[in-house]
Amino acid sequence: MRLRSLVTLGRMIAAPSSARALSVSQPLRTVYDPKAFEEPITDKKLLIQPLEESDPRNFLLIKAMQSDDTPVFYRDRVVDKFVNLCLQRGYKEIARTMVYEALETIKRHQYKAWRKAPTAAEKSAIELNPFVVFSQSIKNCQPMMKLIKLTRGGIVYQVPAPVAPSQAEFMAMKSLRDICREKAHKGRTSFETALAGEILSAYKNEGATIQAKQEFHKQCEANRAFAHYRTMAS
Amino acid sequence: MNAARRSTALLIGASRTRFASLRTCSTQTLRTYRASTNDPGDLAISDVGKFYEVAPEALDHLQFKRNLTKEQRKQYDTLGEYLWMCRRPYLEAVNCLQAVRPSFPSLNVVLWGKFGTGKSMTLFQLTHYAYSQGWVVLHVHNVLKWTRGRDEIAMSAYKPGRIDTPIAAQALLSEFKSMNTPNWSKLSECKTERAYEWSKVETTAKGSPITDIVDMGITTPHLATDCFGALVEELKRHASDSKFKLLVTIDHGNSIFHSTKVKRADATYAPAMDLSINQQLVKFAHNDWSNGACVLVVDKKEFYPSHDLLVVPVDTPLELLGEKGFEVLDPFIPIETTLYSMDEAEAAYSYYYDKRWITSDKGRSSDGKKELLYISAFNPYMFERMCAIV
Repeated sequence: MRLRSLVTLGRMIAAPSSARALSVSQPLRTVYDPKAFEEPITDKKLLIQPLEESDPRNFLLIKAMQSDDTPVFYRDRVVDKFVNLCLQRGYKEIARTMVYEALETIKRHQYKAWRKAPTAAEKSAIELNPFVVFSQSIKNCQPMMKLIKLTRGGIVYQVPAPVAPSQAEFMAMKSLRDICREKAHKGRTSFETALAGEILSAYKNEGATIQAKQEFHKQCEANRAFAHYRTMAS
Repeated sequence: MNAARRSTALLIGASRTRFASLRTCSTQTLRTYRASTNDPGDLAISDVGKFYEVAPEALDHLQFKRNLTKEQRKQYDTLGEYLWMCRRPYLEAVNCLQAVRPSFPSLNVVLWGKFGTGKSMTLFQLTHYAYSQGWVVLHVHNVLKWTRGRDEIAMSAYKPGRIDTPIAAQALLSEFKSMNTPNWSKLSECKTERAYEWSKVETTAKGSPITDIVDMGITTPHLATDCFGALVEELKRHASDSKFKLLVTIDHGNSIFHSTKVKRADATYAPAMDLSINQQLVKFAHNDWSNGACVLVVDKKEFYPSHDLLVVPVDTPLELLGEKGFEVLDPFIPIETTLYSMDEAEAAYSYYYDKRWITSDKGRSSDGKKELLYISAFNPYMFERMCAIV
């Protein structure tokens, strides 16, 4: 009897018609009991507003805030994402130090140019905020297409396809990171120096990362003949 | 920048009184941050928390590129000017130095305080003060350089068992020469008390200028340690004879009394007092001379990495000097370097605001200012680090 009811439950779970499948899987590793903990509020504006009476956060425990969720005014989504991308073996502190040091170098470079600029018009053209420079550089490095691998007739084709903005951003960051790691390989220079230089070049649409993007565009262009494979059934 | 972790820990230490004054701090009113004078000797208590400008030539003579930290060098390079804040510990120390005279025995001053509160900076400001007042200055940049360093060593010919550190001694002598460029002619008028026989070939006759000893040490490194020892004796003697006023500034001064990584012939680590150079520096702390002062910084770097926040060591002089060191220096004047007061922090913010070094719109807003001050927990080092990115 018990076995039969379990089987029925399993069928219910697997039923595709139900609006939301009931998950019976437990998180593999967490210190937080999912039934007892809620996410913390990290937005300062929301934090000062009172909770509704029915809000479960009134009755449950709250998870500790993530180290990169602290509500500081200089928090930047793009920079945080890049820090996570530079992360190696979980040493986030080191990754953050390196990226922030590169930001400092960028700021000093821009500031010196600003200080030496003779006229007010020239001064106002120089962006001093390193976070803005960083975001713009990442934007400049984003590819317009991507290449996907499709097998047609036993042959793998690199087929150009449209790319979502989030993926384009990821591709730009990954390309930038790999180029900087290559430059800093075996202590030729430090990662932060390479990163600062590369970002400043990318800000002016120059440098190795921009070149890599253009190479990639050329490859997409060369493979445009395969574009129709994307709509063709395999 | 490890700002997030460090500042969190520092935030815990920030005093509650400052949080109480959060409501009253007027945010957008820019204070005048310039001191009434640029002469380091004329700064008064009304100038506390304000900046005075330092001439680049003086800093070149004082070898600031070697003696200041990487962050400070970068900052001066970027902003293109040399502004230092006049703070209370500096004025206290200057007050002590103004009491120096031939009839008083030499003063011992100990600078102590938390990481990033400006111990080394105050020390360097004092060397600049003495330099501008025409004193003879002997600045020791870092004692750890020879107690922890891997430079070559030599056994002393002067006293068996002692260890010479030729490279460090030579560097000290050449720095002494550079720092006292304006006083060099005055120093060359001072004559040696006795004849020195450095080796079979090299000698300095009795009555020759003491600058000869410095030049001898700079040109012949293997004699540099002995030359430095002779220079110490001569400087003390001439200062007592009121030929000049003498200021000795030693950074990481407590390391003179602790352990070393210098190995003896039997592969054991030599105690710090076995190094000739430490023996010679300690002589400045003895009160057998007058018309001068010896200022030391006690730093926990001797025991812990300076950025270590997991271990919370005590910053006080007795703990850092050890009983032996304390006895040698006693009696001394302890001066504590502290975190920024609200006025000082606001002046520092105003300076960066005015120079447009704080670039982001959020950082230039009143909320951004509050965040900068409180996240850096009024720690001067942390505040500078925070401002370097926003």
